[in-house]
Amino acid sequence: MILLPRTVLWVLLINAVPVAMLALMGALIWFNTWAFIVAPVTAVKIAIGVVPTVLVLGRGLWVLFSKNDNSVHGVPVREHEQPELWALVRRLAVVADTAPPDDIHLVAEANASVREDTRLLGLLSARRHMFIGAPLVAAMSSAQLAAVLTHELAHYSNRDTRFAGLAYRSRSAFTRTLSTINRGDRLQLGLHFLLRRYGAFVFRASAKLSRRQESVADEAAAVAVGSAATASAFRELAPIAESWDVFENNHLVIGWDAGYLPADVFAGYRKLHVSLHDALHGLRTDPPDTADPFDSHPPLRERILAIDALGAVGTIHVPATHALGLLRDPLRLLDAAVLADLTPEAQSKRRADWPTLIRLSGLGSLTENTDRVLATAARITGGPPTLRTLLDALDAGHLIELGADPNHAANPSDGPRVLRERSKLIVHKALFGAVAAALTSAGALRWTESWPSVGTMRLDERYPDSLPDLIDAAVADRPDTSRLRALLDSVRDSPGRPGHHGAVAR
Amino acid sequence: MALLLGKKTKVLMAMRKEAKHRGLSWKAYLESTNAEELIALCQQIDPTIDPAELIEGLPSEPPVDVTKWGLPPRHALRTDLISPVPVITTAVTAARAGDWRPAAHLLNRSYGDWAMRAAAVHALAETVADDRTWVESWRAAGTGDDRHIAAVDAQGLLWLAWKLRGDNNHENTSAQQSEAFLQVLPQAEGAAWKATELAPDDPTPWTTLITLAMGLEFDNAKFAAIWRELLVRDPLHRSGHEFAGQYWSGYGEGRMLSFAFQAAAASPSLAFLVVQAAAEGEDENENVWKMAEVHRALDAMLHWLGTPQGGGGVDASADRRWAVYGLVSAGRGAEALPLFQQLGIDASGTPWHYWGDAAIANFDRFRRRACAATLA
Repeated sequence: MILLPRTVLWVLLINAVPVAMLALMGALIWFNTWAFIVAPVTAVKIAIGVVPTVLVLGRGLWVLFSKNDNSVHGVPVREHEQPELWALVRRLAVVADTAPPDDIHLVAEANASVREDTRLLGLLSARRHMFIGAPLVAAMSSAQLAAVLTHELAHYSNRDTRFAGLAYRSRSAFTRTLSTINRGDRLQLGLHFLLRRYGAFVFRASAKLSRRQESVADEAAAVAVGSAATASAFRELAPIAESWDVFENNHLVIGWDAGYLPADVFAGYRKLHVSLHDALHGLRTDPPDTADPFDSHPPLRERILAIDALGAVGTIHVPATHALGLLRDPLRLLDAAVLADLTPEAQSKRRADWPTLIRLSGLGSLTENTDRVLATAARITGGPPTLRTLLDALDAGHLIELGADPNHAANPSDGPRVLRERSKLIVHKALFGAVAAALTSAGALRWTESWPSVGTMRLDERYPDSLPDLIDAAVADRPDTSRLRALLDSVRDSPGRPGHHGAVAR
Repeated sequence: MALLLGKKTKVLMAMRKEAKHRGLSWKAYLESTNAEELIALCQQIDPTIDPAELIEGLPSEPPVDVTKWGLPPRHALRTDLISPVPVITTAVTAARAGDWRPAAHLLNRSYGDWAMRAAAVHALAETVADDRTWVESWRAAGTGDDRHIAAVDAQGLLWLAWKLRGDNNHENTSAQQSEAFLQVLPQAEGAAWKATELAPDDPTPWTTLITLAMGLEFDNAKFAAIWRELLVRDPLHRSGHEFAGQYWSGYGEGRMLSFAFQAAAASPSLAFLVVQAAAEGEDENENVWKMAEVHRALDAMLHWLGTPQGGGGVDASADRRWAVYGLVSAGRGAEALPLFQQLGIDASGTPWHYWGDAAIANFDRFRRRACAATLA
């Protein structure tokens, strides 16, 4: 089989640099020692050049050969707490023909991986870690997750050739070494330069091997859980990554500034993922390829076709449930994984359900400058800093003063229209915030979930008004606050059902 | 050389002293200081030396007395001149005083002279952004000038959006300023569409739409549709091309340059676009001023400005500003000198206003380089 010599060659290539460095170092030391014996005075002169060189080489070897350990992150999943998941992973490792991981961590990333702590550029393995992304658990079926995990484990399998696992290990150790070399000093910079050039050459030379290993891993996954589950799992990876990205950026921390995190993070994420189903259709049917600067994976599309072509039915039994069913008390564990990924400050946040978060963040952003404008209104009219005072001040024609920002002096060249428009925008927002707060507490304004958006605000059906129109009229050049006052009065006089305020838990 | 070294040391010592004075570490000082401050420091040490020779990276400012070349002294330079075109200045001055009639007269009389109309609408729109009273009186007078009012109003909202935002770069613009900008821009778009309906043959409101394209992030299809409408009305519309160039700058220096080359091939009146594109790309591509196409565009501009149509038109000053910037940047400063003499005290307009408060300093810097080039 041609793959065996290729694998051996690869392992040799990857270790040629340190071997050459070691050889050069040895030769220099031997030469200098020999020189001492022959001509000590000349040898001292030679040593002036040789000693720093040897030190530099030694330091470089130290960098290459020192421990290459993963920073273990996420939440540990212990076997005695989660026996079902561990049992599945052990069975998958058997099918993948490799050892099970030494530990499993749940992480807040939309992927899964198996990594090893290595020594000597990956020649020796110390400990094997499995990382499982919480979003995968939340959005995949058990079989899909099993397919992804089998694929990752199978990279270390020696089924194809005896050295395949070693080659994969070396390759990831090599890229990791490259990315961790601190390019701060010249020696490391030089080493990085050499290794990068050399690495690019070696990886090109081993591209076929790497592709082969990828399809071996795909096959192992298909053999374990069947072609259908494997192909669907691979199709689902990009949509999950995308929806998770949206969730982390737009939803997870909406209550952060108000001091809150979602009480049920993954219930929200699952609703978002489902609501994005159609929008993510393109990613599912035409999966994008992950870019790896050192590697050339075959296109995911081709891999999926190959998996389908295998027509494997699966050899191990995976419960036909949602992947969440593999965990005991899954939401608590997933939640812990997300919390571990946030800043320590997250621990001190209170928890609230989604409608509450939507209300808090909505009102929070609407009322950003409300207090300032209310205070200005109070100062101008001599009244208390309330919504009514603000309306009085608008009626009295104080729009421009109301919007003045005490922290930013207006540009002296700004004309009256610029001043008025600037104030109008500021007061409009502040007034909207004050009105929304008043209507919300009276139960006339409702905040509801509307995935994939961050939520909506709706005036109770009893009030036929358009809130933006009323606010526009109040800050117009000829202000009319009467309709807004009428709405506020009618809400006050008939408070009706109290609004849904949701549950806030600590 | 030894002399220069001594001065360098002096500047470095002055810089250290300044850092200490401000209570900053050396690094923090270097990060906080700007080119203008460093130039001032260099000039304190020795007013007769070019700061670029003392500190690498500082702009060149040759120590020459520009008045010897017939140029006005620095203190006479102005950035607040209304327009180099007297009728526009008259109309704007009257509008600011509340009198709409000269503006109405100008816009009626010049309808069809799209270059004049573009310049007039642009200048009048700025006054509208500051104070709309005169336009309200004009409308109330019922003169039937709705198409002119609409064109000025649309461009006025664009001006208003910029005045609310301020001219600072993204980092120095507050969230509130950006929010105001983005809230007013759609109003400008609505007003511009309305103006296109009132004056179907007028390219001016289409130019307003082209100008809005970058801020409102029009996609290529929407932009292309507007662009076609503009070209049908005036295939060589200057400000339409100017802001289309800005739109393409969002797609990289190469895209902007190729747009400029294409336009410049159509008419020398559009050759300034190449200089505009080169200026936009000079930070990324230091060889841009050595490109043969750029030099050809400069030749075309010089030739164009020598003709009665080019040198005496509404946009002659705008062309001169870009020509001097391009000539000095491309190492042809001596050829820029006559143009600087024609510009006189007028340091307004692009590219100078991109420097904000340092507009005059940079205009003066380029003049000095032009003068010094005649000595070489």
